[in-house]
Formats: sequence, C-alpha cells, structure tokens
Amino acid sequence: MKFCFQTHGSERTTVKMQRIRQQLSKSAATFFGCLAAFAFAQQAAPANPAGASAVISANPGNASQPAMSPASPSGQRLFDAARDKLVQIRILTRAGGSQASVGSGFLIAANGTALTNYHVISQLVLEPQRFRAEYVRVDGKRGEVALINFDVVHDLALIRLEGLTNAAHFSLRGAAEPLRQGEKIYSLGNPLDLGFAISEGTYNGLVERRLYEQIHFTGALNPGMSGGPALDEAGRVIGVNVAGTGGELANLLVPLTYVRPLVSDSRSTEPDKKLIASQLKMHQAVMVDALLAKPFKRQALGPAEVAVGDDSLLRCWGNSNAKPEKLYRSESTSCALRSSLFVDSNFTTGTVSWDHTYRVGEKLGAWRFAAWQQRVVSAQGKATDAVGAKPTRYLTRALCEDRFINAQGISYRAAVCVRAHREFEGLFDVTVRANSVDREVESLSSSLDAKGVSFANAQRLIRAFLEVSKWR
Amino acid sequence: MALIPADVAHSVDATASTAPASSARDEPQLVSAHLDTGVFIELLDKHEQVSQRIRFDTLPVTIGNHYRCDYILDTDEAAVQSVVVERDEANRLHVRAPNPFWAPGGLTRDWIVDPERAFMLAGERIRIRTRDYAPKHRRMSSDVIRRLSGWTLLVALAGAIGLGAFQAWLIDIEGVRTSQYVTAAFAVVGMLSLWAGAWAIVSKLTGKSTHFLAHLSLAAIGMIVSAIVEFVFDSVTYSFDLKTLWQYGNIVVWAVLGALVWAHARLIVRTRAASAWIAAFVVAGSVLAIEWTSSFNARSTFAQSATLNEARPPGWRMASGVSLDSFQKSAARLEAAAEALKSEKPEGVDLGQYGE
Repeated sequence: MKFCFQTHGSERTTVKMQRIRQQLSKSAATFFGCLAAFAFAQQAAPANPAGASAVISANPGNASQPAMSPASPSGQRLFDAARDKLVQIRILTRAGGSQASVGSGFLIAANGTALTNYHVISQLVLEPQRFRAEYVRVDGKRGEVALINFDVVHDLALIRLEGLTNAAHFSLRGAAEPLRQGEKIYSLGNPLDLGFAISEGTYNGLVERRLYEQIHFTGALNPGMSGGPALDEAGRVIGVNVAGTGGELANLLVPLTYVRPLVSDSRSTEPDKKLIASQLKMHQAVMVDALLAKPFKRQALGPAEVAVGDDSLLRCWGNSNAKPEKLYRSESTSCALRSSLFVDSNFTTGTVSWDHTYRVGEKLGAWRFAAWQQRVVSAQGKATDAVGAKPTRYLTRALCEDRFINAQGISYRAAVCVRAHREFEGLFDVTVRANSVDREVESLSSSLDAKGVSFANAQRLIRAFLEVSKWR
Repeated sequence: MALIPADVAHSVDATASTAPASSARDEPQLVSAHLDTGVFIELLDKHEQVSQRIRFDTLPVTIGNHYRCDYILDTDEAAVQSVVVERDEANRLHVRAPNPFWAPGGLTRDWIVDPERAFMLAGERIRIRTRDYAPKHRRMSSDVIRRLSGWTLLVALAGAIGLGAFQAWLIDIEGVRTSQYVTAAFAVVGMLSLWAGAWAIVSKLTGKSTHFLAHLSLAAIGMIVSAIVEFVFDSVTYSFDLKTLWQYGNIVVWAVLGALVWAHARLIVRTRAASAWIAAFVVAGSVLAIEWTSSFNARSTFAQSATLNEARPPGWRMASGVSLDSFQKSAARLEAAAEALKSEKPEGVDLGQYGE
C-alpha cells in the first residue's frame, strides 16, 4: 500500500517520503529514550538554549513533548523541496576533531551564505583556537563553515558554507505579507542528531511581554533543530528556530525582522568578542531605558507599597503563606524581564529581576522575629553567594558595599554587590539586597538583580527601585 | 656547709617533701599528735633549689650554731640562738629573733612566715614551709576543682541547657515547642558531655582522676560565656554600625574558647603551663584559622556582609542611616574596584574549600 500524502509530486518523491517515515518509525524507540534523557537534562537547565548537551537545543525546556506531528502532504512537499537547502552545523574540536555540539542551518543565498543561531556557533566566536565548524548536507556532503556576522541579542548568525556555488537556497517571506494567527508553519532541522526532519505547527502571533519580537510557534522543536528554518506553506522562510518555553509545544522563532538587518550588514572585520560586547551594551541600554521609561508601578504588599513592573514588558508573580495556625505570615512578589541573552553555555546575561517579601510575626514577638529574619535573610545571602560570588571565566568576584539607609521613610540595612564582566568591557552584574529594620515584628526585604548592565544604568535602576517602596 | 639535724628531727629527702610522718623513725605517737603543727626547714642554694630539707614535728624550733639549737647552722657567723620558729595565738607561723642584732635585716625581730620566700640567716638561705603548703598552680587547681563541683556545676549545667532551650525557642517559628526544646537540651548535654569526656580522658591519661564533673562544669560555663560575648558583640555592632567590631568579633569568641581550653588543661588536668598555653593556641587557633579561611573565601560577598547576617536586637537602638544619595555615592567606588579585579585568576587558590 502506498502513502500518497503529497498533492503533487512524483512516484519517486512518494517513495522517498515513505523511507523517511520508516526511518522515523524505526527511530521512535531510540527517539523517546533520548527524549526522556533530554527531559531530565533540561530540568536542570531550563533557560539555557544550548544546555550542556552536545546537541544544540531548539527546545530545551520541553524535550518530553511529542517529537513530530504526522507529516501532512504539505509537509512532505516542503521537506522534499528543502532537502538541498538544509544543513547540520557541527562544532568540532580542533585538536581531535571530536563533535562538541550540533545544530541546524539553512542556505539563503546561492554563494553558500546560510543562517543559523548564534548559540549554535558560539564556541566558534568565543574560542576559535579550540573549535572549528563544519556543515553536513542531507546527502552527507560536508565542508567548512566560516563566520560572517552574528547578532547575539536576537540569537542569529550568518555563516558561509565553503565550497558551495550556485546552491539551492530558501527565499524569505516579504515584510509586506504578515502572518496570520493560526496559519500553518513548518519547522525543519536535525533533531537530536537523528536525521533531518520537519515539524508541522501553527503561527500564534508574537510572544507577549518581551523586549524583542519572537514568534510563538505551536509545534514541536527539539534539541538539534536550533538554527533551522521555519517555513510558510509556500516554502518561504518566516523565521529561525531558536528556543522552547518549557510549555507543551509552545516554542519560539526569531522573526525575519532581525534577519534582514543582519544579512544586509556587510562587515569588513571578522566578528569577535568585541562585537558581542558592543551588542550587549546596546541591549542593556534598550532594556534599562524600556524599564525606566515610566516610573515603576506600585503594588500593595502587606502594609507596604512596592515596585512592580510594567505589564506590557514583564510579568510579576506573587505568593503568600498566610495560614491562621502559623505564628508568622509572609507575602512576596517577584518580577523578571525575559530578556536573558545566551553568550556561552555557561553564561547568560542581559536581564533584570527583582522581588519583595513582606514578613510579619506578631505572635512570634520581637526576639523570635529578629532571629527568624536573620536566618531567612542570611540564607538568602548565602544562596546568592553560592550561585555567584567567586570569580569565573566571565565575571570577577563580587565586591560589596553595605550601609544603613533611609529611603522613603523606610530604614533599611542595604547592600549592593558588583561583579565586572571580564570579557566585555563596561558591563557589570549588580545585586542589591535591602531589609527594613525599623519595625520590630514586621519587615520588608527587597532584592534587585541586574545582569550585564553599565554601572550608570545599574545606579539608575537601584535608585528607581528603592525610591518606590514605602510603608503605607 | 653542713647541716646537723637535732635528735628530735629526722632527715627527709629533698624530693619527698610530702613523705608521711609515720615514716619517722622515733615517737610515732608524738608525730601524729603534732601533725598539723610541724614545719619543714629548707636550706636553699643560690638558685633557690632545695639542697636539704628537715622536718620538725614540734614547735618551737630554734635555728642557730649552738648545739642546743634544734637546727644547727655550722657557721661562726651565727649567734648562739639566732631565730625561733613558733606559732602565735592565731596559729600563724612566726619567725622571731630574740636578739635583733642577729636577725635578718638587722632590725626585724618578728615576721610571719611566707612559704614562698626565703630569708638569709648567717649567710644561709632558709625557707620554712608546713605540710599545708602546695605550689601556687596546684593550690589554684584544687581550689578550682572544688569550686566547679556542687552548686556551680548545677547552675552552669542548668544555664547551658537553658541557653540551648532559649536558642531553640528563638528558632521555633512553627510552634513545635516541647519536642524542639527537649531536642535542643539533649543536644547541649550531648555536646558538653563529649567535650568534658574528651578532657576527662586527658585527665585520666595524665593523672589518676578523670575530674569529669569539673570538666563538665567548666564546659558549661564556657558555653554560656561564649554566648553572652557573642550576643554583646553582635548587638553593639548592629546598634552602632561598627563593622570593624563585627569583622573581628569572632576573635573574641575564639579567645574565650582558648581560655576555656587553657583552663581545662592547666587547672583541671594540671598540665605544665607551657602545655596549657600550647593547647589553647592550637585549639582556638585552628578554629580561628578555619573561620578565617571561610571568611577569606566569602570576602566582599553577601555572606560576609554584616548587613544580612545580624538581626536587629529587639528594643535596642538602631544605627542611624544615610540617604540614598550617600549610599549610591559610596557604592560608586565599586565600579573601579570591580574592574581592577579582572586580572584576578578565575580559578585561584580557594581557601574556602578547607573552611567549610
């Protein structure tokens, strides 16, 4: 019995698709085994697009989701048409030629120019003396990869596939043809290093509360598909696979908005770490300006008013443990800007988050409340230190300044800690912890974390942050 | 110089000052009857070392160069009867010179015996001691061991257990109460017993008695003193924003620990003074070194910051705060300071790994 999914196509194409389907079926057992392993691995590093795995993840947070929907006739047709335009990007060690990580890419010009994610080729940028890259086409042909340009903010990279001339390539969908919600889109790549595959899904608009536009793709993306193309039904590129969200089939694509400037930017110098630094600086300026464009909103937290973010930019979450049988009560709210940028598998930056916790313990009395406060805050301080106080490859150790301060009628014991970015001049990670000390059985603890910001912008953030909170 | 003991006395070896009186070769009843009134006349060399020691079981004792004296100084310089050793009505031991011309110093006729000091008589260095005499450190040790038992032990132990229960109460924010307090009390007793037990073994190995209760009592007192010292330091530090005091506060606590070790070693175990000091320095120094390495590793971090580790003592004054401007101004130095750290090795020597 033949499977004739495609609406137009030759017998040969049908046989090819059958083979692909058989390959996928054969791989299923292995595939789901790998999925379980990836799911476990990703739980440990949900926000890391590349993760620590050797396969560059397009969907690190949701590896347990079904890998592929059954391919539709359109999918078969698109995949067939895309075969010669897809490549797998492999990062290899220069010393032994061992495979360090893999991702996907796709041709956008006949001269071998291709697109992928920055996080796929980050090792090539950061440690060119240790790593090189090669591409592997669907037919198994391979060649060297040269870096042309990258955009670390939007996780894109422009590369040249050496040895290709007059290559078949994808065309980009025009800006004048916006996608409509519910429109079918197809994501291609090499998931889990199992072989090239296509995943069918739908376009669900742009992700809300983001500093930069990202396409909400409801469809499967798996590790290894990063840098692969997302196509419309006409086979035109509408975005680039980039990351998962941790939700079921909710994944992210980079829209063409950011691809076009990258392609048209003709660099005369070789892209290196300095380019990363300049892009990170631009990003932090955009981020802080966006945050401070309007004064922080105030929200009640117990008898205090605290700073929360602009709903259009970020989401704040709250929690409370209020129970009548307890001797104490605490309420908290935390806000985070989803703007974290991947620089290296061990280093993400460019984000701001903060939280406030109000604690009250009338039944505890002053002595026990003080002891409780001390333990809680001390534990938080140590936890902060545990995750980032020692010098690393990218950050210096922390330096702190602490004082009793008065702000908006609240007396705080406050500390600010600063770590400089070693590789990227003029950028810092800044953390502020402030604990109110003016009331005997209630307190307000506030903390602010800004990663990859200039010192001036850090000071702006600290001031704006501490000036908002007050007792009502 | 030859010393000729009189017939009522007998010679004892200089190293056997505590030899029982029953070893006397004559009149055992008399010796027994005057056991508490006897004296030792010690002849010292120029280094104050005992060259000869004679015990007299009855008083008065006369010391001179005549053969009628009880203790004969074989010198032409001495008078017929130089001095008389006797007790006064208050049972204090006196030395009296009947003839002031021959008295030590020329004019002193009468003085109370000081067992620690010698006096010169006819060119000889003489010291008088009784059976009650004990060297200073042994006298102190006996005194300490006696004082550490009984009520002191009960009070100290109760205080330490109370302290443990208080600390349990402080952290009992979930209202677990009884179980938590009993656990804390057991923990305190267990900890003190371990400490006292270790010292008791040392006592047993170096002497005959373990002195466990004395060690236990001292350990409990040490725990209470440490807690009080730490609380006072933390409170003063927080109330007056004395960062330096906070940074070096641990040294005081470990000085208390060192003193505790010294007291165990010197006063109860009765080690030599040097050994006690070495034990104190080694134990307290080791703990301080561990603290220091931890502190070094956590330098300039939140864990190091007094800000987040000291609670405000209720009801105490609070240090006055600065404005946000001042805070930011002082924080501005961190920019250059952090930049300057770029040359620091990312993976240098991590002393903290040995500290925790």
